Amino acid sequence: MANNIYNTIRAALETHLSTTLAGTDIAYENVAFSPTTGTLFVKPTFIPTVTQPAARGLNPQLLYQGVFNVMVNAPEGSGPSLADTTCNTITNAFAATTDISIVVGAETYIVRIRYAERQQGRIDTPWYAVPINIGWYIYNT
Amino acid sequence: MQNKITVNASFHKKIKGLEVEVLGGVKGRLEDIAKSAVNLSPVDTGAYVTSFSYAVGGGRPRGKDSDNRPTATAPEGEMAEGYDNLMQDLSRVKDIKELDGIQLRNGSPHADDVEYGKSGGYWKNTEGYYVFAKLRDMYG
Repeated sequence: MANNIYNTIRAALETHLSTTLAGTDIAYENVAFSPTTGTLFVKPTFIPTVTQPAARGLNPQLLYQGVFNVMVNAPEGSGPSLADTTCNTITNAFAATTDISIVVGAETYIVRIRYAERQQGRIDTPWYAVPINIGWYIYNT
Repeated sequence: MQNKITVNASFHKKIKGLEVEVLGGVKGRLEDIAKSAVNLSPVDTGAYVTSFSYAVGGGRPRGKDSDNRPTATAPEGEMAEGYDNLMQDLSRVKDIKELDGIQLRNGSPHADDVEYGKSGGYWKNTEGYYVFAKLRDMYG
């Protein structure tokens, strides 16, 4: 399963995000998306970082970890509350120690959340953009 | 009733040895972070990769602007300069044991654009490189 594990992790995180933000526009990676000026949207980015053995010995389980960045883009000049509300919803849904499970075939995979950190917002005209970095990990062969 | 404990000299030596090992580990970790920061950075003009600082307390962090700066002819030279800058900062730390904390910063004006990308404006329309997000995940 190792070759497909990143597909599984991405699917788990993106599905959890879309369920959490039902009705909100989501600009997925490498999918054509034209934001509507004046309407909030979020842009997730899947960023694997380190893969390393979880134990010593032959054929150990591997620890996969990385970041799931979600950029919350609220209309510029509309105040912080719209972005704040969406950020709170995301950080609550991806709070540290949250387990996100996904079933692929006969197997259930659990992606665990290490942290969800909201960063400082900034203007990226015509948006007020607030990044959230979500740290994830999973043990797999 | 026994009312005293004698700690022999070899115990003190072992504690001292552990202290030396831990401090060496901290320094090695800071060097690893510096290497990763440089390796994860994009190099175009070199302004970003040479703008990292290890900040201890006050002081103005390095910050170079990429505007009107030509594309670097030798990106690896810019990366080496960026790494050397950080090693110089570390060499100025007299006693790592006395540090309350140390902070990795990038003072270039376009640091946020490199981190998160930019949808338009004066810098390039590009995806983010998430340099600090990756470092935080790898070493945080």
